Amino acid sequence: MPVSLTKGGNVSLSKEAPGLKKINVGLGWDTRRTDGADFDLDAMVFLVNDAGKVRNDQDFVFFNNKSSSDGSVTHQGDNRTGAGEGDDEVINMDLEKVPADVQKIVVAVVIYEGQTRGQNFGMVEKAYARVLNGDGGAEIARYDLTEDGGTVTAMIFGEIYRNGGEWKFKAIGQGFNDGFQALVKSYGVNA
Amino acid sequence: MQLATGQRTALATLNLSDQLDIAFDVSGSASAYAPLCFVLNADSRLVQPDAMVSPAQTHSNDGAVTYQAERFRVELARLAPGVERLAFAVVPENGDLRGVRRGEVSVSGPGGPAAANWSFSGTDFGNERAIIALELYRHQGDWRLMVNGQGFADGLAGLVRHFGGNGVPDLQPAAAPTPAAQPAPSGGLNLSRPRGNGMPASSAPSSTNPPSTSSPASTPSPSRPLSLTKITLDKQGQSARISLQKAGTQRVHVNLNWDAKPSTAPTPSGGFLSKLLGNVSGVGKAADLDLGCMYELASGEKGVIQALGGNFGNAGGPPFIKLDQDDRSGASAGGENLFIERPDLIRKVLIFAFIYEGAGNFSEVGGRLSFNDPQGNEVKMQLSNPAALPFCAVALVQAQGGELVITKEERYFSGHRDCDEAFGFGFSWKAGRK
Repeated sequence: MPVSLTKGGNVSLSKEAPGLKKINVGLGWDTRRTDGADFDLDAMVFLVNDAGKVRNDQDFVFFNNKSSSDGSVTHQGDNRTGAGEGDDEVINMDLEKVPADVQKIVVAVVIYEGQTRGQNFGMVEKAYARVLNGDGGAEIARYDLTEDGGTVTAMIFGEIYRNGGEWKFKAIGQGFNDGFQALVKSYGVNA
Repeated sequence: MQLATGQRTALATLNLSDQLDIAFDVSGSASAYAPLCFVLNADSRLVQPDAMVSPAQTHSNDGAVTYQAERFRVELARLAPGVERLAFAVVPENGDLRGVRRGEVSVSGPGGPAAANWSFSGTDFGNERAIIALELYRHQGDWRLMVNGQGFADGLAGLVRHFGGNGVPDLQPAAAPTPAAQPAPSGGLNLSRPRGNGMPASSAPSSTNPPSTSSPASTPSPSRPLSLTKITLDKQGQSARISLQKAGTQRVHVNLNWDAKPSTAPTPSGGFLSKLLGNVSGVGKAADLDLGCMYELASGEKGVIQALGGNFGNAGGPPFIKLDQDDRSGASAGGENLFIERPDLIRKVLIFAFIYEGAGNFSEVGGRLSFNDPQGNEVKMQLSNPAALPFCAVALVQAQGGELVITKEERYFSGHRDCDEAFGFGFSWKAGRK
């Protein structure tokens, strides 16, 4: 039973899905049917330490860097149009492999060149981000980017963070008006 | 409340409920801007082939949507079962959206002041000849409003196709009563009405030549590269930057720049930089740094491009690499520029810089290299190592598995020959002079 997310709401992944070892983040949207540049949404994650920064640039997993330095997080490929059924972009996380000094994994969604193309989440049809149990694929949490993403081009969907011995998911839904670059820099990536 | 394109909000937050007015006020170079409402199901398809309300067809079948004088009145409670969405469009007659001087669509209670409005003008659009302005739709039990702001270069035909219809209806009222539309003999329903006496022809394409629904007329974005390659920057060295851009076959611009070194006898015009650099050592001559590259194309062709010896390359043919300027002093703000016109055709390109004369080392004159692509991505490298050697292999650009990988090298050599040996191009060398 997926949890309907509200901003700031917490989900204990260990309680929602006991024994959870792997999670997937899925991003989906419909291809553009009106004229103009394609809607190119990108899923990305930041593995950050307790200071909220990446340990190195390799811990920013996105279309140009498909795997974190330790291999715990892998991006399954860039989709530039939203074509295809189901999740259009998927990021796999093996929580047991996440190094101890990674305190949380921040999941973000960006519309590639959204600002220069005059696009925003509200213009994209059926856009969503969701968290799935990597074993079996049950949906744990979901965010409706089309309805609730607003008129921004970059947003932090949520955080998967350590809390004692377990992992929790916090829905954030915070838009970044300054876009991709500002978002990436805020986590200490040299970009 | 001023709405932005893409903005979505519940009608309840606008204090709107069952009855609304959607009013259009559009002016510009077109002879008219026809408002149009599509009555749609949950999949954004027309509930019937003629489920449109316009100046030519002023009532929906259920009577829930009516049109009069640039204004639609909507009674949501009267909508027939299955109607989940209403899309309100603007279609210029004999023109496109770029000709709009001022456009506004407002939403209000019946006869009341505007609770929300969307303003637009021609600069918001490309070659669209019809746009969806607003949509009202039911989402999880609540009616919501969104600003769509997107459209179609083929105008009304594109709109109708978008909503699952076929053909092009007249939008202006006929001069005399006309019979209802007849189904077309083949294919989908023809929504055209016979033209009234003396009415001007619609700006939309004739219904006798309906667009194919299987080949949308939308054109691919010119910014989308044909070859789906990307630039990745290998993160060696602290000044390296990650490329956040997806690049394709667009040219890569390499720029070398440095600061002019003052002469040992400062002149009044030496200025700001002279004061900064006033105590540097070296011969009393402006520094001359040269940018160049050693390349190997995917075809196997190899060569060297540099001002020395006059090998400036060729932008229009192999190797599609061109050096455009020999800045002898660093005084030119542009520095020296190398353009890799077809990065998709290279195997590897080693970008080098060397001190022709006038400087002791690269860091003394602030040598810096940047890569730019047309999308505004920039990768910068500073030559910060004060090695006494005059030749620097700055960066290696390689095609790897459909990607372009730019690696910062910053390795110093005594000259071309040593560098070539280190990177294995295998040239034969002789001395040259400018």
